[in-house]
Amino acid sequence: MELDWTIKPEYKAISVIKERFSNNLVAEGIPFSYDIEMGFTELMENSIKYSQETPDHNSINIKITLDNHFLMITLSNYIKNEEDLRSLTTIIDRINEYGKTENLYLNRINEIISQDGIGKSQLGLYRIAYEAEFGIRWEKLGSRQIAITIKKQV
Amino acid sequence: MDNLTQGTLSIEAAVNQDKKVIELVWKGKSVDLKPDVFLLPYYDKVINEAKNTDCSVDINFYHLIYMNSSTINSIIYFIKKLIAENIHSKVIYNKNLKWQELNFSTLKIFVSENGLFDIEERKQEWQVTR
Repeated sequence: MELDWTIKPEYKAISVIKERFSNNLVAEGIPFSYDIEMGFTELMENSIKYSQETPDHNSINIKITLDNHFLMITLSNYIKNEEDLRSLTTIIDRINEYGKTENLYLNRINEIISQDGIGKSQLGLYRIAYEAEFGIRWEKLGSRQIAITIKKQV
Repeated sequence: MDNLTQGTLSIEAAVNQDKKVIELVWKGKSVDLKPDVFLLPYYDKVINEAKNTDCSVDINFYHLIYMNSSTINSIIYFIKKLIAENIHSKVIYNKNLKWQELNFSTLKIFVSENGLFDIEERKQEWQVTR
């Protein structure tokens, strides 16, 4: 299975793309499980939140492949600013270097508890790795353009 | 106490005057990118109601199907605020659902000796049909 869509970074796109993805996956005999839905939705939400909104760079590319029971989802988009880009790549590097995703997730929860008021959750990538058990990596495609890929056996 | 419905999420509020409890039953899916926009004002209403009626607050997630990370952030904020206001509260969740266990068990960090916050792990009740 190979799927490829380019969308505007709009919240309403999530449910539309999720339904298309689910239909294609089920047609391949793979259930659209909670883990897959959660991993995909968190990744989509991240891309929309951090996407650049200038007319030239306001799209998100979604590539999904299912090959020999390995599901791979890649979202590519431009990021609003350097700080957000650094924040995303730092989290993914931390997940891959440290490995103990439960500890990382709990650390992030503790950070949220310690912060004053209400800020960014920055939990999505940790949830994808810990709760949905996806492998995760990033690739810089250009200045402030990033591709994030998640992968797991299904 | 009003209910809240926003997209695929609903929170049904029930006030039990005898037990002095406001129960908030979360149902559906919490998928909004910015849930704070509607949840924070709702939390304020709940806190005012709890203070005015001297009630504790039960936050029941047993029937919740899904929530995104932004919702978790918002729930933590709500619990912190309840504790800061000296309002007793309790989170109820379904221990048999992996995602609920992974996420809500982390809230045990709020449980302290002063008894202001508690967690109730409910187990799925299976019905045998013949």
